[in-house]
Amino acid sequence: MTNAPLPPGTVLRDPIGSLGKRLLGFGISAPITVVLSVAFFGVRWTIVLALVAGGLLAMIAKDSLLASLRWNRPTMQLSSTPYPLGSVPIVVYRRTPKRVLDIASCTVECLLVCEERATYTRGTDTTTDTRRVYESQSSGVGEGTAEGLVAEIELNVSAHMGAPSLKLPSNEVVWFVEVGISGPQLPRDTHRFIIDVAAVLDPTYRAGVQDS
Amino acid sequence: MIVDRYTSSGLRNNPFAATDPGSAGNSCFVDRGLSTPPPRSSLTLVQVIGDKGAGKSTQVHEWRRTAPGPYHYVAARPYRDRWARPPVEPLVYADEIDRMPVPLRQRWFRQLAAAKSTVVAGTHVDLGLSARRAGLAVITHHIGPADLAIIRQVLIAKIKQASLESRVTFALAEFEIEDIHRRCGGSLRAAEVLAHELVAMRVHHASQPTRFHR
Amino acid sequence: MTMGLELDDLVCPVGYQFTGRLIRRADADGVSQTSKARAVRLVLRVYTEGRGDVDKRDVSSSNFDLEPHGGLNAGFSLAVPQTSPISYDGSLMRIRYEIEARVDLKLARDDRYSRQVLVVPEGGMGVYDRPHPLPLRPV
Repeated sequence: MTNAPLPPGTVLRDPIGSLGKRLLGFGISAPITVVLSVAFFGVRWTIVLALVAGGLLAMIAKDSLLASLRWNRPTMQLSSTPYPLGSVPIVVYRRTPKRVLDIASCTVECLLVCEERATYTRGTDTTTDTRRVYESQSSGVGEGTAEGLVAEIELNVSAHMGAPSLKLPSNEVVWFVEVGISGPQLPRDTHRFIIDVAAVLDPTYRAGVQDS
Repeated sequence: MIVDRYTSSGLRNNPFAATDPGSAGNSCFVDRGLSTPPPRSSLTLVQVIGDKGAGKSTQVHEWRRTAPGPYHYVAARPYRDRWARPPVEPLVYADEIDRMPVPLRQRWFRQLAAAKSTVVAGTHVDLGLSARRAGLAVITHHIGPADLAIIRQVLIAKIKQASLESRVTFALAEFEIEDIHRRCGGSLRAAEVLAHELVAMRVHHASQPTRFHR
Repeated sequence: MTMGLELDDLVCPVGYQFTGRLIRRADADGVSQTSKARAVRLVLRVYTEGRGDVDKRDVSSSNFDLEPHGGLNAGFSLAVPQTSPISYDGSLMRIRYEIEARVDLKLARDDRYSRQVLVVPEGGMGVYDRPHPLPLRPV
């Protein structure tokens, strides 16, 4: 698998969140669930329930779990400068298998989201409300290359909804892309990539620019 | 030249921007019909029991506004702050007292009883038994999920407070209020968040076109 | 009114500056009597409103010392840094800007005068007359 140099003006971004966090979450919640189950249902029924739940999970997740083990986490190639409001950039989704694989074409589904996050504190009680103020779906065709699975996806950064990326202590505006792939021998997982949107208006919206 | 969307719709600002229930600006209290607490030094605990967002704190602050007294808030974090010593005065207000460590709370109730105080407190659980054991009389108010009438009153009061007198008053339609009530699960706080979004959406759509070229 | 804040434009894109003139009428003769006003601080401030706690930040500022008579007639320029947020009307929050002139008074509470202004995205002059986002329908 070759690692081609990035084109100038682009950066590679890793997805946010990690398998480690999910495992930690499972590791904390599972013992609690077991203790509560034993308290309510007894040991025998807890074992039965655990076997049934485990079997169902294994049936559902078998293909996805095996596929996840064969693939590295994806990356997204983005512009090194934030995207203007109203722009329609193309980003590149990449995912490499852990060993050489015959990669068939597949569909890469993408959801671009702008989310407001408002945090309210009373005493030390903190509540954060979030609202998605913009969502845009798009898709790309993923193809096998010497660098693994690669897909170009067109994003539609709205000029009419949402705001440029913003981080203040109690108020945030976050843009991110949720990407999932579907196809044979491909993991059924979704990854989220943060993108930066600047306080710049795309030239197509500026005063004096006429449609040709 | 600045076109303020809210001013164009007859509002100074979004009526449902968050405010501290104890602040002077929060004058949209809606009477839930609870009886006024007894005067100071009446050897009584008045406990207001309700879920988060039900309006306990707002009610406690409203009583405090009319009959001032020291206020003690039991913070969730850091845990050591829960051990902060609460006041013992003829009239005391407190909130989230169920968070108080049990030994501290029991000692506090005994001190209040010895001082024949009146204490008005918000809590998530019933602490009447503990207070009676310490020697306090107990008055209990339960604030349940906000019904449609309460939500309507709160929303209308807040809109009225934010309205510009010289303009047509902004108003929520009855079906919008009913929709908010259905979605908020009885929580006043959740209702205000939904109302905030709805007002923001309405003033945005009511804007006249701007001069941009495409 | 002793203080006047004249702005060349109420709208400014990020990366540029608000310019104008600050005028204060003299309230003493400066010889037999000196003004209580010592200085004026001009501030461009961004603040939020909405379901979150208020975030407030002074983006840029200028100080003007006053003559003994308390009068002032000076041009000013307040920069809007490239990294500043823009004026925004959102679902859970609003981001607003104001320019405030604060008169430092000796032994008295400071006088304050403020005006709402609009910060738009770069390239937004002639397009915006209200906080972002752009309405859907163009003219």
